[in-house]
Amino acid sequence: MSNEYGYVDVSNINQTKQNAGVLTVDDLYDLQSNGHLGGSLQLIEEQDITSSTSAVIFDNLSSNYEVHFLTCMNVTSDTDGSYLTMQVSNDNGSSYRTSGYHYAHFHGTGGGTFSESRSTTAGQFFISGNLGTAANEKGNTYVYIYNLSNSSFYTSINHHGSDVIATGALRFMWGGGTYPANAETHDAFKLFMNSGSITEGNFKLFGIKEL
Amino acid sequence: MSALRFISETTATSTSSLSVTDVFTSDFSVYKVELIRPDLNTGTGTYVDFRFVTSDGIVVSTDYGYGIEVMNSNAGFGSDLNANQGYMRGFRYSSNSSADGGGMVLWIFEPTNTSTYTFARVQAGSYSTAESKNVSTKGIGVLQTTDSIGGINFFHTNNFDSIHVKVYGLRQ
Repeated sequence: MSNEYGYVDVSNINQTKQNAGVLTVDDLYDLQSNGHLGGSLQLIEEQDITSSTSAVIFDNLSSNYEVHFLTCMNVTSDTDGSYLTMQVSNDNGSSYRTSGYHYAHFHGTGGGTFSESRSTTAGQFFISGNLGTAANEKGNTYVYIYNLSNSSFYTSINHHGSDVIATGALRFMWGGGTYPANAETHDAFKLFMNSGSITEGNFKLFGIKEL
Repeated sequence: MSALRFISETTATSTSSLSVTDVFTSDFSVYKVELIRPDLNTGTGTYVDFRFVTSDGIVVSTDYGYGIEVMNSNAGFGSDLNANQGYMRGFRYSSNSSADGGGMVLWIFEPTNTSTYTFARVQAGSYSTAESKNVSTKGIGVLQTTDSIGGINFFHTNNFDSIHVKVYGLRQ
């Protein structure tokens, strides 16, 4: 596999990252695999859950991205009224931070009930509504994660979701959170129900590249 | 190849205002702008706001309307709603501790279309060491003119120690 991305003539392609020049098929594969080619939204990992799972873990996260984008689709639980939550890890998943989270989010239902939720002493981020176990009582959300891999800054999130909750009602939720207990690198995080297990769901983690 | 296309990255230090110009063109109808870890020189309970820059390089300072929800982890939420303003409200920043970090994602719709207004959607999150709380914002805004918009200007009443902006186009 070539690591020398060569030139046909003296005119360089107007690009500041590594892939200037004429590229072989192997070069393209190499560059895309390492996140140097292929547009700015880079799929890091996808996990498709089809049976009872205590946690969905994303680990071995590199420091390539300042902003990560997570999608959680059609999430179901085996426990009525449970929430999809998130914890971060600074030791690649050997342990997870279980206290010191701050969050604030706003939610409302199609029936017209709107509420605020907040905490400065939480054990995790909450990123879904209270999901149900009946058919089609599923959660869908996206999460922007800032500074996950930066040891000088707190990890913060924004999220926005739309669920059919345990009462059968539509519920939206948006908000954010920070883990301010330590400014540290988080090289893993896990998603889990605050009660019971995840039974289904598709989870995709993207890095937002600078090319 | 993903639909998100990187356009530019701009950083600056010791400034009260940063304009990122010549980034919105007819190439895309929708743009994504990230503001990463703005670090203020001083200030508690303040906002990083933004304005649009025309394709001719003029910062537009009138005719904005916006509505934003401010969500605090330790207190009741609030909203900020205004019409006929000189800016759009963005990132609720409450501390100049550099570790507070945070980020903001804006989606900009139809900036160069001179048949319609330019719309924005904002979401941001950060921590305020000074106030011991997470603050998140979610909002919408519009520039109620049909100027062709070519860029964006972030500003604050005090200096940014550092500011970092990335712009992406969304390919259709």
